[in-house]
Amino acid sequence: MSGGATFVGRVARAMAAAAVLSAIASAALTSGIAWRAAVRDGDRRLDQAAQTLGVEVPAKLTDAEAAAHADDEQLEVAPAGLRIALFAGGRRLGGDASLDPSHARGCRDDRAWRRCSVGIAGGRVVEVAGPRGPLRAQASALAAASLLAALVAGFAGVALSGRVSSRIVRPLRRLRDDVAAVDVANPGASWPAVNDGHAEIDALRDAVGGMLSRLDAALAQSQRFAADAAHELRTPLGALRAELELAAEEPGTPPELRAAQHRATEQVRSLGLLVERLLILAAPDDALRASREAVALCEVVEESLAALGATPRVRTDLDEAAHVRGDAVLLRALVDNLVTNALKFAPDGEVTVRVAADPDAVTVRVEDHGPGFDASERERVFEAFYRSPQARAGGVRGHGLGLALVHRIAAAHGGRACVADVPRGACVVVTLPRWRPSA
Amino acid sequence: MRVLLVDDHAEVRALVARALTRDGHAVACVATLAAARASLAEAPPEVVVLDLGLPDGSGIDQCRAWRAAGERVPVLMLTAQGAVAQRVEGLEAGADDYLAKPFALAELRARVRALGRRGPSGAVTSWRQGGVVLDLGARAARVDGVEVPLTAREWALLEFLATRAGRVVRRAEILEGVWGDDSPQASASLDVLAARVRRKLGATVLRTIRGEGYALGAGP
Ligand SMILES: Nc1ncnc2c1ncn2[C@@H]1O[C@H](COP(=O)(O)OP(=O)(O)OP(=O)(O)O)[C@@H](O)[C@H]1O
Ligand SMILES: [Mg+2]
Repeated sequence: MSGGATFVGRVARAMAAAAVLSAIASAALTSGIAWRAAVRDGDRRLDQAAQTLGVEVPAKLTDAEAAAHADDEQLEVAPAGLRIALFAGGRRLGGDASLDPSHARGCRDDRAWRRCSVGIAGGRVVEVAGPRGPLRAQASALAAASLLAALVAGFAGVALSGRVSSRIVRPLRRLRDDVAAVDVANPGASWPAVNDGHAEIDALRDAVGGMLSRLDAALAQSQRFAADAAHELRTPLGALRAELELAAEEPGTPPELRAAQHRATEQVRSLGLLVERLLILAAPDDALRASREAVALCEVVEESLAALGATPRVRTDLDEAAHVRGDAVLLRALVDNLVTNALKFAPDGEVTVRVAADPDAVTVRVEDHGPGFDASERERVFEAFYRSPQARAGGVRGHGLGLALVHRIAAAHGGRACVADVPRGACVVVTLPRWRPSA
Repeated sequence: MRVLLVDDHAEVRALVARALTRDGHAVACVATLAAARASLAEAPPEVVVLDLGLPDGSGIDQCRAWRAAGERVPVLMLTAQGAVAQRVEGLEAGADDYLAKPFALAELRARVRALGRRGPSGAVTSWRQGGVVLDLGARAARVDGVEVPLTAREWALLEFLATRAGRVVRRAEILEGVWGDDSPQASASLDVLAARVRRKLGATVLRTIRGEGYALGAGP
């Protein structure tokens, strides 16, 4: 995977941030609610104390009797930390001496105290107060607890976010794997028609599948076009060639005409070869892989040299055990191109064709003593239509297709072609998998 | 020799017919598979030259149909050089040889001659001697159970000799039937090929009868 920002990382970070923020928010909310609940609870206790005194002091009691009850009540609630006093018309009747009468009924904060003022029968008022300290302690303990819980949740969120987010992107990974597995030669057919079960991913899959089948159609069309064009050219070229060959057999042709016939035949032959080479370069890989016959490279080289009439300058070293599986016609084209290049670019000197066999691989090595390859062009010479500047300037004929064809045929046979480092001249090595018994 | 030429291109047909006629063959030219079937029934040829894309169907399918019906006339297919799949399919359908278009007439003539000499296709489907088993139909050779690679040309030689098993086949006959020409070059290739086959299958499989020719098997 690339070292850049990943989607998983992004999702994980977003999830972690969300976890921490929601933890803090939930802690604040919980402690707020807890605080208010605690206050309400405290108020209810104060109110109850006031109501209890209210029941003990009905309207018919005299102020003195009421005061006695208030004093008793004060003694009773004092251990619980409460203070209670009874007032009538703003005048203290009894109870805690330090409590002042309030102006309004209800509960309010009064410095370190929470106090409630409750009206009872006979126009009397009970003032009751409880310390806020315990309340605050209880609320902050609650807040701390909820904050702790939230933080734990937040950390767990952070810790899990990586794993969870990679789970989330799993469908994306599958999509990536499927995209990576698309066969270049056959894009649409190699797209799995499975659905992922996630609407967004499936939409994406459908879009990719649609694009691939359009690509398929375009590819098929261009291949058909190339094949049709070549076929249309092939037949008249074949006819022309046959015509010239038959004419050359006629007796009594003047020598000049015979020479012209010969040149024309050569032209037509090389034109036909060009069409075939283009067709091979345009063919899909699969089409070149169909044949699995045993081919002895020594036989291919011998036939090639015999056909090229190249024997005098060419030295061979052929291991006859070097067999491959593949197509004799294509391998013949491969050898033809290597030998033709050597003879063409190295106008004199020896050309060596060596066929060797390893346990697993066989090699064809064609070497000459000509100008060789420039270090800068070792890769490029295998591209179609590439010709080196020297070849162009030197007036050597060619289309720049030979080595592209060599490369393609080698690849179709599961092998490769490369330019080897030699002190002098050129050396092209083709390595192919060796023939094995079929399983 | 009677040759049936099936090609939908009139000029190619005329030229090929002219070349084959010059070699002394009697050539029947047709442009469609229907006409080819009719001609085959009417005047059985010794070799069929079959183009693949014909107006009323595929030459490959026709070849397969003929073989299924027991028709054993040797068939030479005309295909494109790059059309590997087509060639493979053609051979599997029972064609005996192929020639990549555009071909040199000399090559076509040699192939036709060779096929004519070979005789009916698939006459022998297997051959064995000791540990050597040749499955000519599937083109698989085994020596003591181990598969050995044989090339198309080696198979052509073995098949030619297997259909004439038990007798000594003259050099010239082999050259005509496998190479389609008895030039000194082809003659040298025969010796090289025979030596290689011996190294692959064992010396007793292919006997040289000096001054006469070759024979498959240990002999009577
Ligand atoms: N043996 C060689 N020695 C030096 N340069 C070579 C040799 N073989 C190939 N090259 C260089 O690589 C280029 C590409 O070779 P390739 O065979 O593809 O094309 P070509 O021979 O120029 O044309 P074509 O093969 O189509 O007739 C050549 O133009 C030449 O510059
Ligand atoms: Mg070249």
